[in-house]
Amino acid sequence: MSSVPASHPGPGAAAPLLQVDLTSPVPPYEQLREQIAGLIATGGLQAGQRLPPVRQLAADLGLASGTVARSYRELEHAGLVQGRGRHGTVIRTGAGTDAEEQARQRALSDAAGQLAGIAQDLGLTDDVVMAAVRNALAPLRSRRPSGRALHGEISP
Amino acid sequence: MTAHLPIPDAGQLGTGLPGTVLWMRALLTLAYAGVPALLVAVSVWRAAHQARRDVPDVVVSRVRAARLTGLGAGLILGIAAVWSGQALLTPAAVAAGYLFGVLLAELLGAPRPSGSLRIASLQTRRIRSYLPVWSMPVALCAAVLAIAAPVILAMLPAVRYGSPAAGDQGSGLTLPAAALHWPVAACVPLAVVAVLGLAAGGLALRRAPWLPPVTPGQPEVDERIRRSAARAVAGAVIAIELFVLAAEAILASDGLAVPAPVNGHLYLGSRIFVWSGISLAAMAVAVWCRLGRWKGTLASLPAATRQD
Repeated sequence: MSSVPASHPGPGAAAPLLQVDLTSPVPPYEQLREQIAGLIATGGLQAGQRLPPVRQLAADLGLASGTVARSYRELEHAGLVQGRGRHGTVIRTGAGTDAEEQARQRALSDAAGQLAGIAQDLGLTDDVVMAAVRNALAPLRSRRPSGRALHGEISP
Repeated sequence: MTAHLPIPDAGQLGTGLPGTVLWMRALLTLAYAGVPALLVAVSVWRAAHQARRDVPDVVVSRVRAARLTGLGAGLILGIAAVWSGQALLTPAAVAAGYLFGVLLAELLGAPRPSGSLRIASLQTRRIRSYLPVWSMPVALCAAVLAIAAPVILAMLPAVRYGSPAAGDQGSGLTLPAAALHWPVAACVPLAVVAVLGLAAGGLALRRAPWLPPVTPGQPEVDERIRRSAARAVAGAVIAIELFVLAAEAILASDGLAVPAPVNGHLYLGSRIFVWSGISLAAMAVAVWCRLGRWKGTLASLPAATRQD
């Protein structure tokens, strides 16, 4: 579920990796959306940077093109990316650049880091940690009908 | 000298003519289909042998089987072209078979990722990064010329020549006046093959960067596999276009094929067309074999591109 920054073998610069767990109760398109949104929020993906074509990502992950296209659509609705037809999908200018938003992201990243540290000390698996986070978020989500997520109004 | 040559009787001529035609077609098959197919098959075999150093055996075997099967299908198509009287289509047909082998078995038939955990890079892969810089311009220029050839030939004025005055050329030979025709109609099927080759090649080249990873933890090997597929497609497309262009050049030589004593310059032009065609065909085979190789080895790649 988490994005793992790593170097890429291609001719270009290092690119982040996406990971999809098909056994997770979270649908693959949502896993992709979360990871890409997270990368934009934390600066892992910069404004103007192009996302891989839907069919390339779908082929790499062994998913249907529609699954990846849905993730991209959700990101576009959230104002994080912009589809440019034949020129592909690019990260929108201004996505993740707002100072207040960046401060929120930093606070969230710090908290997530602390949580990861505690989970490691306790010897918990990723699934257990994610389940705990989801359980903690569930009541908050019911109290917050707009479902405000990172970078705007992303409906869950 | 002629007095010593055996003169066949009528019965021998009756059975000899179909036999001669048979032999001619067999020779055409060997020259137009057999030689290119054999050279490319050897290059595919050698390339697979070299690639085994870095690429998993299962991938190398699949790639080799795809290319050789395509080559076999192209060979059958080429033989059919010779025996249906379209001999000049034969080399392009062999290359087309190879292209479809790569497209169907190597690109569309590549195994999909399996397992519950899937990982992908957010790197945008572009076909240009997998191909030599000269390959696309060469393929496009050759394709444009091959497709436009019937139109160009249709616009050229036909060559007419009269009977030379007696004794002009210092020989007693009398040549009748005649008009030559540019082979417009004969070039149309070739142009159609060029269009189809370009379209199929474009489709296949789009697929090459989308080849899914097959070696987890070794992304540089996956890149090498994609590069190999892209180069194989480009090689086949260039071969098709150059073969078509070669055939059109050889056909076009008919439009200038005046007897040498009538007009030496036009006769020379005709010979230049023929030799250009032969050179283009040789170039097609060379490019096809060269691009079918697996580019370098991982150890020989520059450190900047390996990104270990």
